[in-house]
Amino acid sequence: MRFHLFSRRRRDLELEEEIRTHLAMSVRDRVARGEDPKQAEHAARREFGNEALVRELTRRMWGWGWLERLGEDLLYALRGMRRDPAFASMAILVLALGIGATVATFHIVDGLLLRGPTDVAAPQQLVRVYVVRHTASAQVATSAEQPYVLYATVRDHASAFSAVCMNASDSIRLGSGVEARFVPVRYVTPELFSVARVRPALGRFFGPAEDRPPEGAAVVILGYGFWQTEFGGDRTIIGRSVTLGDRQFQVVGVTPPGFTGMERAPVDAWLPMSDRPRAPRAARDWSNSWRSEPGAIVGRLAVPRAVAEAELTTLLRSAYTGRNRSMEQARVSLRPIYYNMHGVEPPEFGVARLLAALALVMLLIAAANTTNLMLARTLRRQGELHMRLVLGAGRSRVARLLVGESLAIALLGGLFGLVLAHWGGELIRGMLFPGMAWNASAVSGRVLLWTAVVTLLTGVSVAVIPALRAGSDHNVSALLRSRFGGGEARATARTMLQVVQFALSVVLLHTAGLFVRSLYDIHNLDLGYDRGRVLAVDVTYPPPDSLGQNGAAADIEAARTRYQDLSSRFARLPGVARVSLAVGSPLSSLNVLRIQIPGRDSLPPSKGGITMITQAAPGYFKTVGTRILRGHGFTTAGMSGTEPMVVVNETLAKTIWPGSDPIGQCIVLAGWSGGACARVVGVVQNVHHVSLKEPAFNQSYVPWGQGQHSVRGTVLLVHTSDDVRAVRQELMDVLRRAAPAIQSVQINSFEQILDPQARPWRVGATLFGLFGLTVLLVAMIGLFSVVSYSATQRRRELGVRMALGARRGRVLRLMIGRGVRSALAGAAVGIVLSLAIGGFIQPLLFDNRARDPWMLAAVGTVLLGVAAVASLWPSWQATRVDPLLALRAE
Amino acid sequence: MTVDHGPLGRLDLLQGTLDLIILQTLRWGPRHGYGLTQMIQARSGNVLHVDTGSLYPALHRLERKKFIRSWERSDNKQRVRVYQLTAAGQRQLTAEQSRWKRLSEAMQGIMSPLAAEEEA
Repeated sequence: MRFHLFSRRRRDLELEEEIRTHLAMSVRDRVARGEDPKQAEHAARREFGNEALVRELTRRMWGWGWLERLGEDLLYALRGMRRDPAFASMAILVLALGIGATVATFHIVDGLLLRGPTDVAAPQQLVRVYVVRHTASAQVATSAEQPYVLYATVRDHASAFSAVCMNASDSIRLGSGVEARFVPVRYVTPELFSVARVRPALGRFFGPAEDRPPEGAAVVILGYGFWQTEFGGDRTIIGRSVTLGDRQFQVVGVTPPGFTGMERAPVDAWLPMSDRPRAPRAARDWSNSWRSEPGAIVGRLAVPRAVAEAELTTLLRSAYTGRNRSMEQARVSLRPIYYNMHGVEPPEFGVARLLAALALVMLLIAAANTTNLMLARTLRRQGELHMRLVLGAGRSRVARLLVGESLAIALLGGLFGLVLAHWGGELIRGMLFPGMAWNASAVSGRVLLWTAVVTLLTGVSVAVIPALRAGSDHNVSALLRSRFGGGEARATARTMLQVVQFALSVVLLHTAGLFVRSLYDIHNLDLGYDRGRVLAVDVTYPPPDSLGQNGAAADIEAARTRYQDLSSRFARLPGVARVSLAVGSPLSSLNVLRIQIPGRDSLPPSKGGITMITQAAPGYFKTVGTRILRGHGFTTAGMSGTEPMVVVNETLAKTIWPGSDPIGQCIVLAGWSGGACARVVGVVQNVHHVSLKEPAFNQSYVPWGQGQHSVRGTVLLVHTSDDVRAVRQELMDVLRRAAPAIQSVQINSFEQILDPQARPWRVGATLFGLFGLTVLLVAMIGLFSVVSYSATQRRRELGVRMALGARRGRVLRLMIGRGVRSALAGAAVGIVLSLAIGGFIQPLLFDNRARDPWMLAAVGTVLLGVAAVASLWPSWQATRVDPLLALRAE
Repeated sequence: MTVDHGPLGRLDLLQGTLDLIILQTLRWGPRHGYGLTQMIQARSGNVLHVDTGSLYPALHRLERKKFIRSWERSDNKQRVRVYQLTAAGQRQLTAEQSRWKRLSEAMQGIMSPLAAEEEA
């Protein structure tokens, strides 16, 4: 480009010189013929004609003319924008919003559906193996976790895949003690890397000998990020050993940056499939068992999918040697690798696609609004354009001005849109797909390309109507009048556009409101515990056998003492109000047992179907904040007593003893009290044990550490009176000093554990709210442009009205009325639509109420207010026009 | 390019004709822009006056198409840009000449009777 400009300037100078020489020669000849030198010069110039025009025409032959002219037009357009900043900023904002939304969602859809995980070649050829079978209860079960034996069979005998691998996600403890943390690992067969067609960044990948069942070699491949953060990118890491869990692994390689295999979740370390820890019960021949299902099978298709499915189904049925009858009719289904473990497309993908469609609609609306804005502005510039034509500017030149202006606006809109897309893209990514590894920033080369395409198309399409008209019509006044006089059809189209925009914003905002209400409901939900103030401290010790060869009873006693010791240390901290202990406390683990009532054969079925059991230490209910409805909880005195006792929840009490007092009743807890009777000493409120949305389960509580029951899985519950984070630090300090032998510790507040569960509603509220507000803003600007356009158009009429004595207020009402009417129509359509689609939204909401008249009323009111404001300003301007001037203007 | 046509005034020539005339004129050797106008005027018996607004664009267009090339030389203490026919230009000229010949014959055929009538 620099070279271009340089050579261009040189050619300009040359041309100038050429023309000068031409003139000089002409003068010389004339003088030689005897003319007066002065007259000769005049004559020569006259004969030569318009020097500037000659230069301009000649330059056009160089072939850069169009570029230069485009530059001029853009510059001119930019100057014009400075004169009318309100118009320019509105047009740019509208386009930026439309383009930004389109680009941001394009990025998501592109990254999710078109590109696949980082460094995985041709992801559309990759499929995961699902086994589909009909269970005894006639339900369809689809599973992605397969036995290793199936994988080995497919690998050795099937011709469906050019390469096939098995992999499973897990986590492993890194370090030990208070600072220990769990890092994500992937257990893989060596073929994974050839299926992905990836090369190591350093070292090598696994060889087949290192992953031979039953026991794999102690080797590890590090993830690039992990290698960077943990080892500072040290290249001598190859051959050294690292400790993961309690085992040492030799580092053989490092994966390239961003590589996460077939799933998109981050991976810190890759380990051989055969090293995956198995339940102690699993036999040594796990790799030949149809009952252990260690991982998912992913293959690269070598034949059409249907053919591959048929072959694998035959293979599965002939190879299966287990005893599950439903496997006889099982079939293999191959599905894209971005499908989830249940064999369906994750719902986020549907949401992403919906967003992309919404964004496209928004872009169309934004383009239509910008066209309206342009038309309104061109009308205001009628005089200027007229003057240009009169002064001899070609019609094509005027058309080019309009194109230049809309292109300049589109370019700026695209630029700001890109900035918006960057923020928006990161936001959507973070909300919809937390923890997913993306292979590029929200703005990448492809995204830039897409932005350029969208921007140019928008710019040209916005200009095309005015430009075509300007180029074809001879009488520009007539042209402008006909263009803006807006035949009935065009006026109707504009009104329709307004109505559609308002309707869309009503639907989106109402939906957002429903999600916000869900969040509010969740916040106010009585879960049966104090979620903000209670910390659950989960301390794990090394298995008892590493502590000595004592008997089980002694081990249990030792463990009990350890927990009680920690508990009393915690209790002495200034920020701690109360401490208790429990096994099977909410959100940590779930223990289930069977109950019997002496004298009854069967029990009435309960909603949840199962009965949970929690071992609770004294003060437990007060510590976690569960209300005791009748009787009392466990006390230190009661624990030493011999008679087993039990606390039940409301649901259990009502199910078993409806209408009578449960206190003092007897329950037999199977496998717990050894067939003895446990006396009910108290009734407590129901507790959400697992999730925000769960049926009322039967819940029972027994004293912690009673009898010979193991206290494995004990969680210390700390009710804080101080800032949760500060207390967390204090607890860590205590653990560091008092419990050097612990293996790992996790401290989370109930709030933190619950937080991910509220994500769907938070995502819905944010995304719908964001899109709703954007559409509302675009609609507002659109209405503004339409009203201001019509105000200009009706200047004469308004002038007449005011000259005849119409009051300003009346004229104002006349002008606003139109905008408000279209908003009313939009609100009506939007409300009907919202009610109609309620069925789709309902399952997404927390409380399943998808039709909220108050919410609709609120959204409608906001809409009308916005419409009134958007039409007030240009209408006000219209009424301030001097009637005399308005009349004379025509 | 205009043709001085007496009382009828200016007459626009067919597009492409000027290119042909320039190429044809350059057959006699390199010329600068002013020289070309003079030569065309002289060779057409003072009928054709090439207007500079057409000449220079045409020269630069032909140069871009590589039918002619140009360089600067000093002529009478004045730096002038001279144009010369290239081999491609020569070929183009030959092709254009035969086209022109056919066209003018055709025009002749169409116009003759009319011309005769008018004169009659």
